[in-house]
Amino acid sequence: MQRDRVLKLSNALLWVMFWLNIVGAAAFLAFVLFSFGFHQMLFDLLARKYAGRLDIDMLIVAMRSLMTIGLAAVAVAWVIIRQLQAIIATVAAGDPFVAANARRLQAIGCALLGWQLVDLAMGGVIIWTARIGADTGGWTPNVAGWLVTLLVFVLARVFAVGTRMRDELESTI
Amino acid sequence: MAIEVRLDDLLHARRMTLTDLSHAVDITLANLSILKTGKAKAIRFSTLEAICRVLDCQPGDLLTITDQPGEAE
Repeated sequence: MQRDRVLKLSNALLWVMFWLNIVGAAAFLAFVLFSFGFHQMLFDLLARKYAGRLDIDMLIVAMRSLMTIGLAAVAVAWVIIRQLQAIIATVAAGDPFVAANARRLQAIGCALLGWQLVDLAMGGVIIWTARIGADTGGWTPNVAGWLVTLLVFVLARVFAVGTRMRDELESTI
Repeated sequence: MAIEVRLDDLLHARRMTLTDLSHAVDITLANLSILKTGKAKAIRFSTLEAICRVLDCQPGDLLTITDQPGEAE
């Protein structure tokens, strides 16, 4: 069935994201540890690139901040992925309109809100890094992300009311 | 206050079983059982009418208000 294929594909993609997320966490953590353990090596590499144009120690602090923010993003993504997997499991089981899924959507909304705050923090560090003279990819506020966060909170509320209505209807003879 | 469903009394007075009533009103035995044990949260007018027609009674004979606190309170 077409719908089953979509569900299976979504589930497979979520597992890919789950493992990529773990790889991402390991990479961020490895960089933070590397920047402390091999500080001089990193300092020399950056000093060669920027040739005295900026304060390298400050740049390293900025890079560590970005990696730490990346770890926070990994935690948020973990919540979203696990909750989505649980929702998909209830669809596969044949009864997704349950109160637990309304709570899961609410949790995803909170995680998305956290994601937006992580994005703002990242933006702040990127702007600061650009001001001290380092090369950055730039940053723009994610307006669509805020809208999606709002949408998920509204949908979670709709879902909660809907499941309550269904529960009442089920007890109507 | 709570609504008490007196289906058991009415069935007993008419020498009927819940299964007989289930066949007569075309409502599943499981749903009638929920109604009889007071676990139902609501009853449709159509259900009430069907039961009253078969048991030859008024809605007030089937449903009464008691002083015991209900779920909503």
